[in-house]
Parts: sequence; structure tokens; C-alpha cells
Amino acid sequence: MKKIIWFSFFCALSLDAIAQQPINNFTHGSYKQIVNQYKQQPFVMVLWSLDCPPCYKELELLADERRKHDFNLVLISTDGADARNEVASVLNKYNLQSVNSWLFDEFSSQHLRYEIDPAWYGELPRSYLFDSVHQRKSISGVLSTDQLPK
Amino acid sequence: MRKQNSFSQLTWILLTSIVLCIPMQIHAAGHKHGKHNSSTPKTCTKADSLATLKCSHGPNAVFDTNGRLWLAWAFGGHVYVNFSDDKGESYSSPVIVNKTPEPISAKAESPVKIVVDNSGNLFVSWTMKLPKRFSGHIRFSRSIDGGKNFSAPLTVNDHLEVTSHRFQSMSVNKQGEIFITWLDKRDLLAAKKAGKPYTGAAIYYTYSDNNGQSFHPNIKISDSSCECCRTAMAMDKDGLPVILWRHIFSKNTRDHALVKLTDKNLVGKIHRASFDNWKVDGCPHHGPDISIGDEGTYHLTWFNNAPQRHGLFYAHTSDQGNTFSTAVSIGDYAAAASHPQVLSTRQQVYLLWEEFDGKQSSLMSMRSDDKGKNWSTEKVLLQTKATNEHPLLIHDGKQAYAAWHRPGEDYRLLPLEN
Repeated sequence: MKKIIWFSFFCALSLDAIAQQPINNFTHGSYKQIVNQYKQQPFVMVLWSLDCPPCYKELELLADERRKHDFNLVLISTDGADARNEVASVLNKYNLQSVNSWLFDEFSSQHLRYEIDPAWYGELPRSYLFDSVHQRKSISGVLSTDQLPK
Repeated sequence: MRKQNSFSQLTWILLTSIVLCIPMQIHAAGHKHGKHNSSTPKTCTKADSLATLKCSHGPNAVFDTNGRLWLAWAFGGHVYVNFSDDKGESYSSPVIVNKTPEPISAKAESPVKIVVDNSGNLFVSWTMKLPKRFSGHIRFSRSIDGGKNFSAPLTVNDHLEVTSHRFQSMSVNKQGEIFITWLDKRDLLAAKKAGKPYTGAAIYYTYSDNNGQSFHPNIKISDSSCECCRTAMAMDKDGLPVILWRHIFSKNTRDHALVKLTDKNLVGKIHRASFDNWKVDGCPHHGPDISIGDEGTYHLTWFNNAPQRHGLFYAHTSDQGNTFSTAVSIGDYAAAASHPQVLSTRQQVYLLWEEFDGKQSSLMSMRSDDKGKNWSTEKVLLQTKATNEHPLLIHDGKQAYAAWHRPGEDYRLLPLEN
């Protein structure tokens, strides 16, 4: 019996570890790194924060859509490094812990926002839909399912 | 044989766990690394760092009638107040407002608030964070002995369930009556419980007519405010406040609404104050500002980001919001002009905002000598590293100042041209 309990405990730990992607530190140069990571591939990049109620609608929608079909998704939280644990727990809650996730190293950093898009004023959620030649379309506010890749 | 079996089983379990736990360790290491890049400078994150204005969050400033500059700010679970008699050259030792520490939310869009009445009484309000996300209580404390001692904080919102009561604004009139307004999700909570739809948050207010000893029951101004933008309040010449906030018109159009109280207990007609038609199911985190001239003109400034009409705007109304001047664009949209402030003094109206060129932030200002009809060319007041705190406009009765804070640096107070 003891063995079963230990086994379950280790399994639980291990499964959690498999599913959980490390949350990358989003800093100077990270945006280019992400874009290079998806060379010649379409992808969706979504910026969100803990303090943005509509962002949770967006996370739910993304999780639902990913259950239906896989697409390249990058999630970037603008909360700042101090919020790492909370960001991780939200990603877990929405079952998005396996997504390529990033976290601003400074809360809503103007530098980082500018690097992504000088025309973005920090409103959230903010999404960028990249096609395979990386022409991008920006959308402020919660996405609708028909805007996501099919 | 049985022993051998259980030994190999245990080894297998341990090895599997070690291998599979590696990603988790990486995850933990990532966390550790991230901590070094916190938004607050290292000098302010040491465990033994002192409560200083330099290392504070969400500072706010106001001059009293004697020209003393009062500041209220948050640091490590406390709100502090200190003052300067030499226009920010030196500061007094800070006094703790809330003796018992509590979680405080004092970010750029919702800093600590401080106002001072004509008798020198100080009133401070802030948002206490509650355990649930987006939840908070509006807290208030006063000093009636010139900032030496502060009263035990009281909660201003009379709805005490754990939900959002945040983004407060506060003003005091010549009679010493204190008005506080804030965004409130009690109606959203009730609608959710009843299974009914509800858009946005609501906006509420209350007032105190006993110098902040207590507050009257809360009064609702409107449903369907945007839920994450600062509110703005200014005192009209009759001693009743005018409130400006980002509202949700129709399904998702986030323009601005303005209301004047027609009596301390009576909400006047709600006017739509901006017509940019920004349709967004999102959080702009970018609220408006209002200032009222001695003659009763309301000066308004705001941000919107609709495809056709975007950037910062200024407009005024001389008939309490029935009609508005044509909204004029201010600042450079391409340079991310943001977070505008407006201040009307006896002679001038000032506008202040931030811009960013990818490397540094600029503090920009403009002045009007004819009550907002014509404006001077814009002027760069200061260039600095980017900051998350928003600038303020304050005046001491003779001179207007721009005030700006970057955590870890000295508080900046810049006189504006008369």
C-alpha cells in the first residue's frame, strides 16, 4: 500500500513536471527570438496580464480552441518577474501550462512594449496573428474564434 | 525474491522521478532568475531597505494653502505621508498612516490619493488588496493635527463582499466635505449570482460631512463603467464634484462619461464626453483627467485608440457637460503619447503627458492662456528612463508643477511656465 502511495506521489510530481513548460523571461531581444522560433510558420502571439479581467476570457477561448486543433501559440504576460508564481498558476488553471509562455521582466515595461509594437499602448489582451511570411495583424481586446487559425 | 522485486521497483520509481523532475527544476531556476529583474531597482528591494519616497509605490502629491507639499505613498504594507517646505529639495521624515500593515495596491493607474482642506486637515485614501484577484476595499484615514498622527483606517465601500472596489478618486471642497468615487463590482457579483448578464463594473461615490470621521452610505452613479481605468474627480465652484470615467456605451464602446452631483445625495444627468467610438473588449488601463477653472469651465483630457480617432484628446465644456468644444488631438501618437493630465489655474490651463521614443520617456506639456481655446506649442520638460508611474499636475496657488516619480530615483518636481 505504501509503495502505491509513493508511486502515485512521484507520478503526480513527474506528470506535473512534464506538462509544465518553463515560463521564459521576456526581455530585450525576446520578441525577435520568438519570431525566429517560428520561421516560415504562422503563429498567434497573445499578450495578457493578471490585472485584466477580459484576458481570462481570452485564455479560456485559447484553451478551448487548442483542444479542438493545435496551432502555434505564444503567451506573454506583462506582469513582471515578481508575478511569476501567480502567472504560472493561472496558466495551470486554464490548462495552458504547455504553451510557449513568456513573462515581462518588468511590469508593463514601455521598452518591451515598444520592441513588440510602437503603436501598442498597453491595452490588453493584445494579439498578433502572424502568417507564414510573418506579416502580422494586431487586435486589441478579446479575440473571436473566427479570427484564430483553423 | 520479493525483496529484490521491491528494491528494483523503488529504484525505477526514484530514477523516473529524478529524470522527469528535471524540467520542474528548470522551471524553478527560471523563477529565481526572474526575481533579479524586478521592476523596482535593486537598491529598493533589499530586505532592510527603508521606507523612503525614493523606493515608494504610487506616490501622490498636493500643496496645502501654505504652500507645503504633502506626499502620500505606499511601501511594504504601509501608507506613509511626508512633506516638503522647499518645493521638493528636502523632505520630512515619513509618518505611518496605517499602523497595522495590509496588502496595498498602489500601481500607476491607481496610486495612493491625498487631499488637504483649507484648515490643513489631511485625507488619504488607498486600495487594500483582498485575496481574490481584482478585489479590493477603498481605505481612508485622516490627520487633524497637521500630519503628526493619522486615524485608524476605515473602509469606505459599504459593500464588504470580496470583489472589486478600486480605482478611487477623492476631492475636498471649501467646506471640508470629502467626496470619494470608485469602480465597484457589487452589481456584477449580484448579477452573476442571479445568472444575469452584466457589462463592466459600476461607479459609486460617498461623502463625509464630518471631516472624515465617517462616510455616508454609498450611492451608485452608473452601471457599466470600464473596469480597469482610473476615475477622475474635480470640485465645481459650487462645492459639488464632477466625475469623469471611461464608460462602456452600447455593447463595447469605451468612451467617457461625465456627471455632476446636483446635491451631495443626488447624481445629475450623465453626459457622454467623448465620441471616439473605441470598440474593444479589453482593458485600456488608461483613464481620463478633469480640472475645473474658477469660472466653472470643465477641462477634460483622455486617451482612446479607435482606428479612426486615436491618441490623446482635450476638450472643455462651459455648460456642465451639455455641450463640448471640438476635441483636439494632443501629443504625438507615433511617440506613444499617453497618460494625460490637465490642470486649470486662475490664468492658465496646462496639459501634461508622457511620450516614448523607444529609449527614453519624455514629459511633455502645453499651456493655454485663454481657457483652453488656443494652446502653446508643446514643450519637453524632462527626459528620463522609462517609468511606470504616471506624471501629475499640481499647483500651490501661485505656480503649477509637474511631478513625476521613478522608483529608485528622487521625486521630481518641475515648475511650469506661467
